[in-house]
Amino acid sequence: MAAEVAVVNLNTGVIALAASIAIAGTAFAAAMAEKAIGIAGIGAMSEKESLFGKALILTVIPETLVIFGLVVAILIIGMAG
Amino acid sequence: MLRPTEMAKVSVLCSKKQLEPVIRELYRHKALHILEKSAEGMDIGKPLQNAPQLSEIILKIRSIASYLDIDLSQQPPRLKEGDTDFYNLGKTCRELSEVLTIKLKEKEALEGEKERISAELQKLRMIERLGLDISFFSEYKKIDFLVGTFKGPLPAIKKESALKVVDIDRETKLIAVFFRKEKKAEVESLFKSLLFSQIDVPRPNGLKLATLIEKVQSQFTLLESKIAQISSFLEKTKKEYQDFILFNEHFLKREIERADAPLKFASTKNITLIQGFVPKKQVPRLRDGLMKRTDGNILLREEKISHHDPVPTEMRNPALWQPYEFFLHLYTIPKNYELDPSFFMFWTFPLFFGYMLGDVGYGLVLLMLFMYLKKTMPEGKAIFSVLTYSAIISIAFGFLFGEFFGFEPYHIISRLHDHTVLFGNNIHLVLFYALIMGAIHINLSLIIGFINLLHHHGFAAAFKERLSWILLEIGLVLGLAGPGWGIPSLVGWALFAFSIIPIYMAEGIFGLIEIPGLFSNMLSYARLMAVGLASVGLAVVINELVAGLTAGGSILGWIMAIIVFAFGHALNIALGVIGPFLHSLRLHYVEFFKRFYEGGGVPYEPFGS
Repeated sequence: MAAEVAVVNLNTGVIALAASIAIAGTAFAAAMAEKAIGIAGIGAMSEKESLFGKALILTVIPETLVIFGLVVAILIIGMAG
Repeated sequence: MLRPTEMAKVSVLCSKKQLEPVIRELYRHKALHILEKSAEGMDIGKPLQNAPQLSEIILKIRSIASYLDIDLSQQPPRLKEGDTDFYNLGKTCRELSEVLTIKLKEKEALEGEKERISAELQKLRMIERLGLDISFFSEYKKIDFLVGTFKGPLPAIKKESALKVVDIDRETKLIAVFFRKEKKAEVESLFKSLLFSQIDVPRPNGLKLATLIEKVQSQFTLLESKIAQISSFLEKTKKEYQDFILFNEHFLKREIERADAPLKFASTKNITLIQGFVPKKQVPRLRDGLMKRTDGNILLREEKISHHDPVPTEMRNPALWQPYEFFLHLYTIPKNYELDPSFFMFWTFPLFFGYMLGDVGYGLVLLMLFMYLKKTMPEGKAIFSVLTYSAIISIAFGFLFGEFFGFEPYHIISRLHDHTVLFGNNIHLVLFYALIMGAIHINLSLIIGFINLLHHHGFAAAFKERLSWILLEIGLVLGLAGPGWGIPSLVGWALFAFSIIPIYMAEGIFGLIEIPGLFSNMLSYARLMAVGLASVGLAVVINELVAGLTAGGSILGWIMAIIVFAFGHALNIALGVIGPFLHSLRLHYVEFFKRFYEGGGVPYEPFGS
């Protein structure tokens, strides 16, 4: 009985870990991309302020990465049943 | 409504003699968006004859306004415009400006003098505090003296010196020291490190100190009254001339705009050609007006608009969705022939925002905040209108999700119905609806793109570039949904394969690469769930903290709980505005606009507006 519980917990743990890796990896990637874009965007805006709208949009584009990560994480957790 | 105002390109040909009345008439109509010097082989026109004179007067007027501290940005008074005599106006302004220059110079000099006298007076008052007769400070043969203030303890001064020290405040002391002339350097070095500031004692010339102070004081009073006199003169002049200045500045600005207008026209020695765009509906009225003004001595022709013409865009939307034009100004405004997306954003922007925020409590707080801001900050009216509407939709979704400041008293579609089971079935439902919204939104953008292309490039292009994508989607859905290799499934896959051909024809290899892109764009709408989940997750954490603090039942616990509740939710509301706002906007700019919106339009700025 005790062994069974331990097995279930290990599975759940691995699934949770997998889900967290999906989130962490994509969040890190999104952050790196946004950093570079943000810097360039500020640079462009200092030259021409009307670029604000475009810079803003460019900055949030990589956020899709982490959203996909979240979707994947939810799917992984779904495997836990 | 869905399209910007339809424009007509017009050319007006007139002789030099007719130029001024033509400009006046164009200015009155406020309809012509001038196309700057469009004809090749012609020079640009010269400003009207009175332009330099007008510029000179307006310069004088502006300098008078700055002398009198008149704010030129305020609304000018409504005075009657008669036939202005520019010669007299110029003369009045020149004279007024001269008087003011003299008065201001005088005032400046008096103020300098006042400052000097005030310093002198202060010095004498200091000396008065020493309580020594001023005749002590005469010139001696062998003795010198030093008067001044210092900070810190009194330094050790040789016995043969005489001194008097008075405390000014807690730190500062006033001192007068008398010593032998040869000791001067020594005494000075003693005070060096004590922030010593020396006071020059004036020669009394046989007067008593009190008399001296009185004399300087009366000088000071006299100066003050002189300055007050000039100030009141300036004040009176300002009152008298404010309306005159405001009116004429405004009036001349418009006159100058008219006088400089020929710089934008093409012209030869005797003829001027004016080209520009006019809203189609206003062409007959403009033609009639011009004909009447010039007794029919001009030629006005409507030209064909080519694809290269920078036709200006005048968005015209009813008040309800006009605020959404703000987002287009932020990004890029539509070309004249494009559909104006404001109408679509009016429906989808608040929907997405509300779906993400979805909390009755947060929605109510934001609704009140934005309504208040809308009233107090008229310059941000558009954005706050959008946000007010978005807050209302948030409240609606809040009821649907059953969320009140993160508490969930009932569950219809709960996003997070129990924090211990983080991902209940319902989160999948919220994700599913988000993706459905994405699919609808993207197909809507394909349809709008289809209509735009149909309007501008014909059916073939519209089919290849947009309709093919819709067919591709239908094919895929049928193919996947059909049972096994049944007829609907086969038809579906055939449609899928067929639709790839026009996609390849229209966009080449990039079109094929873009096929998965279409679906990843739809997946991007998963953020509607994700951002909302983050927001409600934070709210639940705050509520857990509050519950923990109040569990003990102590008063301190309750106070802490109230603080945590207020600050926590305030922070989460702030995040809850920024996140949904940016993501909703992004879904429009990136996913939605990508398939139909070109942008890069020129704003319509009619001459005279």
